[in-house]
Amino acid sequence: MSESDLEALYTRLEKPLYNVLYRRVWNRETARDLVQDAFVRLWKMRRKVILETVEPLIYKIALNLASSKLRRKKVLGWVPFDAVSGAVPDPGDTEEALSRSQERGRLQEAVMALPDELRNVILLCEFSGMTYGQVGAALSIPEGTVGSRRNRALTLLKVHLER
Amino acid sequence: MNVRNNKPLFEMLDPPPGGLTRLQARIRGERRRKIRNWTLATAAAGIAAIGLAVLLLLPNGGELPLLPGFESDLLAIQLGLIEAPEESVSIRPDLRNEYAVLEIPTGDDRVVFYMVGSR
Repeated sequence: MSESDLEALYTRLEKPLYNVLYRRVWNRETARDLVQDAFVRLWKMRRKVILETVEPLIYKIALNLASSKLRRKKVLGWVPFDAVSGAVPDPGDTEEALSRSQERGRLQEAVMALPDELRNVILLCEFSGMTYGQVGAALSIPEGTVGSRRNRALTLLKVHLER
Repeated sequence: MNVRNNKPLFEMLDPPPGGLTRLQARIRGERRRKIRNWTLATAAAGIAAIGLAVLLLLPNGGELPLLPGFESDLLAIQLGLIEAPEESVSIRPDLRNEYAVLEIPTGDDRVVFYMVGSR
């Protein structure tokens, strides 16, 4: 993998990867750093990288880095989540902004309540644009399991949001 | 994918700007670090090789000169840290017909010279 391959990949995957990682760590700076770390890690192993399968690989690296980060912070007893209401400034009137902010907060709670294996599946299916097969490769699970876990995650999210 | 009201479940956030530039800088940093590590490793290997060569090329099969040890022993004796050796010089019994040893006194009790000569 050349440097220009890496840059092209970064340009294409930065946004979806950032969105997946943000929903794992709920902190914009940490998510941004994790995206960078994942690509640096990929660059270090570039001689072994096969371009055709690089997409699941970068998600796998990134999710592993996020898990390690969360584990470390759990051990330290401190996880700096972004304030839910201030995560993204809302345009429009205050009432709509408040409503959107509350909705985000509930969604964050719902996503955080999911077990890890369901959360990773739903996030990858939502943001990565990868096929079930690729998501399965990224998470080291069979393709069929991706579909069933995604459905289970959606059901749990729906239940949580309709409470 | 929708859960409610046909709205997307998650909104797509934009990552902070300047990500690619930052990545390029980090990769340049990685390259520099790799070159620096390689240079240090090469220099260390070179120094080790030179040290080994010096040891192998020393006279007496690589034995170090005795002078530094001698100096430190003398200093230690002068400081009273160790005692001066008391044994005197003698000729091996099978060579006593060929060689003789003569003790030459000096003004200092702690220093003794021996003159060894053939008969």
